Amino acid sequence: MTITPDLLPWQEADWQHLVRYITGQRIPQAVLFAGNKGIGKSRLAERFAHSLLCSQTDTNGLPCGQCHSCQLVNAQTHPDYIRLNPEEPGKAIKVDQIRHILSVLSLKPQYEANRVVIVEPADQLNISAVNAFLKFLEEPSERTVLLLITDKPSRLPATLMSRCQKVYFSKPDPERVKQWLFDQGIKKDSELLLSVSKGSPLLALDYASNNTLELRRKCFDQWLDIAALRTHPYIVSEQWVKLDPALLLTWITGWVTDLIKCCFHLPAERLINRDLFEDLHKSAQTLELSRLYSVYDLMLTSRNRIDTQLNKQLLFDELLIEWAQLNEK
Amino acid sequence: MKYIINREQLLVPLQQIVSVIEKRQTMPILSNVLMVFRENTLVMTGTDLEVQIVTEIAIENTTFAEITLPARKFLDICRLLPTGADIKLEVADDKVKVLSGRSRFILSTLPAENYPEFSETELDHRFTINAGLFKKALEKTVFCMASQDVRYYLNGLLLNISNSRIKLVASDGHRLSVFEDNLANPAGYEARIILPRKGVMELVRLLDDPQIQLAIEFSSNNIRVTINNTIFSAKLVDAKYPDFNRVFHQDFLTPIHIQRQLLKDALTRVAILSNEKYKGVTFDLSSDSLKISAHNPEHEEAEEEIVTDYVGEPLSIAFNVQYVLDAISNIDSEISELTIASNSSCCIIDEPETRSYRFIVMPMRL
Repeated sequence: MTITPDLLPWQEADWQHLVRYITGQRIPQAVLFAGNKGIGKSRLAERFAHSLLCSQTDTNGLPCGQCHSCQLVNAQTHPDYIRLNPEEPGKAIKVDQIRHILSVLSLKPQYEANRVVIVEPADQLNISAVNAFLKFLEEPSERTVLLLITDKPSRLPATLMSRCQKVYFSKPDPERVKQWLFDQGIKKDSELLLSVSKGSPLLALDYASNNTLELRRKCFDQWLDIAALRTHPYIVSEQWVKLDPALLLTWITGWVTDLIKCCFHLPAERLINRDLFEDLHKSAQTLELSRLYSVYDLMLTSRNRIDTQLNKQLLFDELLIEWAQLNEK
Repeated sequence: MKYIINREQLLVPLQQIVSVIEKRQTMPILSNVLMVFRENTLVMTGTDLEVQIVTEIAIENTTFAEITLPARKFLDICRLLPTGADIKLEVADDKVKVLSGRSRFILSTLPAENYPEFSETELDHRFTINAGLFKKALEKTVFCMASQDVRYYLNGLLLNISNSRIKLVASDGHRLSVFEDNLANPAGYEARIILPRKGVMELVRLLDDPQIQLAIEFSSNNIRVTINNTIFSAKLVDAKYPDFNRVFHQDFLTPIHIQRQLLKDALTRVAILSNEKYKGVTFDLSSDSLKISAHNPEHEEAEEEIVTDYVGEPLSIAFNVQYVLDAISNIDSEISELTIASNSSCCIIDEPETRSYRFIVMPMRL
């Protein structure tokens, strides 16, 4: 059972912005929620959806929690609350799903309040799905609000972007987040967690609860082992592919970025991986900067490839071999 | 809490409800039937979020309760119990015991307050109509509705009330049928709504008693039809129906009158040798005669000639034979009247005297 999500401490301003849409009775037909992963976009969108669906919101735009609509939202049986997600996580949202939704949306909403469609992640709409959706996105049926959520707004086609009101979520204030993490029971490493998660609080919390830092340390050691020729890239990539490929790629990119920073003698505080400073610094002294940049380029290319059909093990093979060769000289 | 219901009372309403419930549901609760026990009545509700059926049956009862039960399973149990059996329901926590004779079943329930039934607010407009007439009107139009057309307003039926006139229109873009009649009691307003395809199909099935009076209420969102103890509701299509009246306001050739049965038989015979996919037949009109012909890719040919009262220039025009046959079959009069537009853009088929039913078919290029 879901209850209206609480507001996270750093979302107050964003929430007020959304509430003004409701109180000012100027609700856009489509809102795009864009911002980094793990800063609570979905939670805010759900909260906004709940307010739009409630028939008796209070003066602050908050749902009453008592009316029939609120009851149905909480039980996840609200007929005017539609979620559009990929059929399997990580896969695209297909045109058939859009067509199905459109046939549902061609009828009037069931209740007197609004109807809300949450599309998440919007960047996973494939190109034919986007095209099928554009017409409706521009002119939805009456009382229908579309909420699109994405952490990669740059991947959205311009035709889709131009049809939405955009709400960009900036990185929350680190001090506030540290306090919040403390309140959540994360007493140690909060600085590092936040740095590794690029300032995304929910991601940091997730890392802390899954002991991700330990796993990261283990992978980093393996990575150093490859550089020192103590192990073979194939052996490591075989193990890595069983983990979360996107996460690993983010880490390696972070390590390489930090290596480049070390080459320029930046202090430890400016690094993403502060705890690894000594290892990184040592390793950076033997590396050629221009070749390090070419590895970095490969990282970025791989990041674009990670969501495609490409064999993940081959992707890591390529990365790690390149890394091993860089260290061979 | 215990309730006793007779199998015969339960079976038909439950079957009606299960017929609207879809097998593949997005929400688990939609495969359940909502059962509300009130004083001496049991109200059952089933919906797929597009249409909803509510039926009320009389039972002896004093305690109030709301439960939802897996509809299809409950129906199967009731159906397979012996005729005339009493079915006893015992509600306890999140389970319901179904007892009858020496049979015993335990069904799981979902909380009734989470059931997304249609709201019961007053609807703006209402009128009453005889069920037989309404069913006839539906049957003469529904076959023209489109299905799964991207112009989703065509996947439905236009209902137009204009004081004492009722008009039903359906079209798939190639043909259109219009049924018009008088209402016994003038409604006193003008309104146009589009009923969705699934709702129309379901409604036709429910109108099996032609004698009763239907109370129909609708707003811009919903329509509600009360048929004795059953209330049928459907969401409406959110669109404007295209303006089809211009079709009637153009120049026409002189109408042709043909014996309905004669034309139908000729068309059915010619249709045998028409192209199986496109079903095209050619009408060659000349003074006093109509020649209907067809040929297919195997170079087989069919030809029929009918004597008509046509006066004017000779003309050749082709139609989908199935569309013409559908129209002819729905005409009640002995004589059918065919009126072709002078620019050959359409043909109107109607009843010469009453003109309550009109059918438009667009020509084909062969």
